[in-house]
Amino acid sequence: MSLNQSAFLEVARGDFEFKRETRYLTGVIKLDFGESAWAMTFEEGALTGIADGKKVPDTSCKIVVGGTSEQWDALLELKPKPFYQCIQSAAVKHGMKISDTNESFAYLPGLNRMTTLLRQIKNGRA
Amino acid sequence: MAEHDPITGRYVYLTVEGIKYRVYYEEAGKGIPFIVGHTAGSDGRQYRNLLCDEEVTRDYRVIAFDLPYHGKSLPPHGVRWWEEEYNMTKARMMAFPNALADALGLERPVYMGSSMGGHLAVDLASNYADRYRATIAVEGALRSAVEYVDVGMAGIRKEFDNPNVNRTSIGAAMMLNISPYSPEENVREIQWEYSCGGPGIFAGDLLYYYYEHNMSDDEARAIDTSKCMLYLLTGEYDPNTSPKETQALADLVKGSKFWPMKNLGHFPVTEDYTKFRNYLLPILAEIKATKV
Repeated sequence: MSLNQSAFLEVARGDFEFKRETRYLTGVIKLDFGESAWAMTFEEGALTGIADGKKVPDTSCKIVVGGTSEQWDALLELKPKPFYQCIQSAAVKHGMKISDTNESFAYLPGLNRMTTLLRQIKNGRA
Repeated sequence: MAEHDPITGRYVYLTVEGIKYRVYYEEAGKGIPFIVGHTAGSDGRQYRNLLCDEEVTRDYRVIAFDLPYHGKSLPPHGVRWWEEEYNMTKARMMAFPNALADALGLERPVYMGSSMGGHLAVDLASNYADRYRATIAVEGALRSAVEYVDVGMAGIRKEFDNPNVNRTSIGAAMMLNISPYSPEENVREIQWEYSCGGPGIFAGDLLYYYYEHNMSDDEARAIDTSKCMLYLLTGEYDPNTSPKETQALADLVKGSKFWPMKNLGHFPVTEDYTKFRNYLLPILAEIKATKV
């Protein structure tokens, strides 16, 4: 699965809802795609950059979302099959992973918006 | 000329388990009494489209109530409720629609509920068949899906009753229950309603939804649909009570009727009422045509 990282950075930094729902966040959200991973760094709510997540251990991240390439493909369909409608249902029903830190729950609105933006980018809608 | 919905709201006093509650309800229509119950942690606003559906209200008096601690039904006065953890039990869940029917003088009403209200429809058909002419379980089953039950109340409270997490996240979490085919403005309305709940109430409701409602096969087989017909409607995208779980219940209850609902999720009444009513209207027509 390939995702355009620079396109996501540009879209996320300009998206009202994503910026609002990641407000005050300082730390790393890691997205593990199986063969590759992103480590998104936030400073006081601002997305400052995306590094190679394979070099960042899960324990140093505030939030970790992971899955196989096939699971991410299913999650990022514009109209996903049951129960890939969001990260949480995909985790419970299809074996994707999401951390259970306080930040994972607190920033769930931001993770939902992130999923929507990733869907748009993957499907050429951004 | 002001534009109004055909809905009126009132407060009624109900005594349940020795406690007097001031309970808010909204109603519209005339005819067969039709009580509708909301999902865990939400309130009767979920039924605003149903209450405005003239094809329903021309034959049915639709009554949507807010359970105490939900919506406009405040916690009871005279009880130091802040000194104990809120939890919803099966006995209390069943008692509220019964008390409401008694207080309003409703003669063998129809009950329909969604999610925990859907499980309640099954419990009422089992325990109070003489009181209801029919119940409609929206997202009802013998029990909720095991993957969620296994989380346990401690895990549930960590996500939904956590001082580090604000109520917006409860609304966001409802995305797991919602079909990607539902119009976004409806999705946002569900999330808004879930973001408005009282502290700890959604988590406390889940005690009933995940644990206190747990019907045995024998109890399900004993449901007498000749006394109280049981209708079952479940959305394709509901991971908490999937069509598979509802089918297991339908297979045990002789005479029950079940329709899985394509492209709908756990909140079909609100997710897309224009689709949900296609399943509901034939049921209401059948109930109307049935002699009580």
